[in-house]
Amino acid sequence: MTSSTASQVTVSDEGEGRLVTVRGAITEATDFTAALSAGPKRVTVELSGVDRVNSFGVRGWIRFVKALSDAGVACTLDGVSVAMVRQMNMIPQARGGAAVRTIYAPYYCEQCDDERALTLAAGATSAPEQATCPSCGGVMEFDDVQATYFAFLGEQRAS
Amino acid sequence: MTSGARALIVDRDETHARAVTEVLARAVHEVESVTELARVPAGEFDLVVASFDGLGLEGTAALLQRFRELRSRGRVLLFIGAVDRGALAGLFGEHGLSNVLARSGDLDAADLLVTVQKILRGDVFGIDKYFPATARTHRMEVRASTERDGLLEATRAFALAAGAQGRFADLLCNACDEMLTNALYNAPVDRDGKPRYAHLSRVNPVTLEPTETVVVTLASDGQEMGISVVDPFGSLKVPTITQYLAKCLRRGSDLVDEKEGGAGLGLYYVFEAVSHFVVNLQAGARTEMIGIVDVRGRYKDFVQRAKSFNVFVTSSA
Repeated sequence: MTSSTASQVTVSDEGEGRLVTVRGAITEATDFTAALSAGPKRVTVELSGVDRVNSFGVRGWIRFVKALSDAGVACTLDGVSVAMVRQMNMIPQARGGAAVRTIYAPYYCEQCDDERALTLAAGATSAPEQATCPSCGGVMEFDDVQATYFAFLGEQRAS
Repeated sequence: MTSGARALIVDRDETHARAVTEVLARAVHEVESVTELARVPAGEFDLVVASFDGLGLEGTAALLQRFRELRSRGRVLLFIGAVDRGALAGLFGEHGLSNVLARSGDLDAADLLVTVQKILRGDVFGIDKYFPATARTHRMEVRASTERDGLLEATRAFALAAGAQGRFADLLCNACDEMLTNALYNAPVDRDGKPRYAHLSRVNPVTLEPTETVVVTLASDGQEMGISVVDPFGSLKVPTITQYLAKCLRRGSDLVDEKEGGAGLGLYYVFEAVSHFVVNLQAGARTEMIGIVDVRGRYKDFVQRAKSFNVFVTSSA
């Protein structure tokens, strides 16, 4: 898990669907304008590359999700990173009306001091307490609290 | 020791009360301790130290009911365990509480002593009060918002070099980001005390005057990491801090401000990123925000620990 100071929003359309990929830090400088251009009926937002969100970035993000909702566009969040999960737990409006497909979960290996975010199966509402460390083959442990980490899945609030 | 100072402890847990008494005895002249609110002796105190947990549910309700009365009799410092965010919102918003120490595990005597001394004396500034003299520190100065990214990178590098896990380094960066934005956009005021840049979108770069410098200090002793951001304006006010925190902790529909300028979330983001959030205020002169992250154990331990929050106001330089 590294941290960046810049963000990148890329958009690709295919038929009635649109894939929006967000990477880096979501801050006041993050521009979602291209992702909001008219056209798609469905938008999937890929968030695995989001490593940080600040208080101004989250407001821009909320406006983006709300604009999609107001336009009647079905929004699905995919590969929701650990940083984004934290945001959605702090700010209920950050999820808005979006559906969530897959989530990343944080793991820590005490044996080799490795930190990893591992993707969970689609629709998962909890994380396995243990996983195999890709670095040393040892046992990694889920490094958060199940009840609070997944709380945002049960909390859907229009922004 | 503060000459003549008198403190009262209200705590049902006698073991905890004894430990608190021992620490307070090093800072005040006289310490009294009671286990029930009904036994609070007459008179005024310089400090009332009450435990939210040790009183039990009925005691807590009674404590909240009598909070204003207790405050009229002395400055109140409250120990709290892992209470939910809604309860904290009530304490900050409705009761104006601005001194809270986390109660998790053994009493942190050093933290308590520093807090009590800061409440009773005017000497409140400096992150050094929270770290041993042997702690590693790094000082930086900033005057422009365009320098922020470099400072965030330096903060992250400092945390990682100090041995922190990546997620702890992220927390320190989050706190740094919000504190810097506050110091550069919200804090600057003109001679009449009117905000200079608070109305601006944070995309607009700002640069302070040559005589105005924001000082950032990082510290680490292996157990805790800290950041201090000092602005030379002193425009932040105690009710602003407690009301914004309360609004965010309630997590209602008004959580995110839609006004021009900030989102009204900065203080909340700092609070959530650290174990202990301290704000030192000297009106019209300077504001210092300090965030301390307890890096002992794993991230999940950080998530489960109660948080400390303290605001100190001084009129002396």
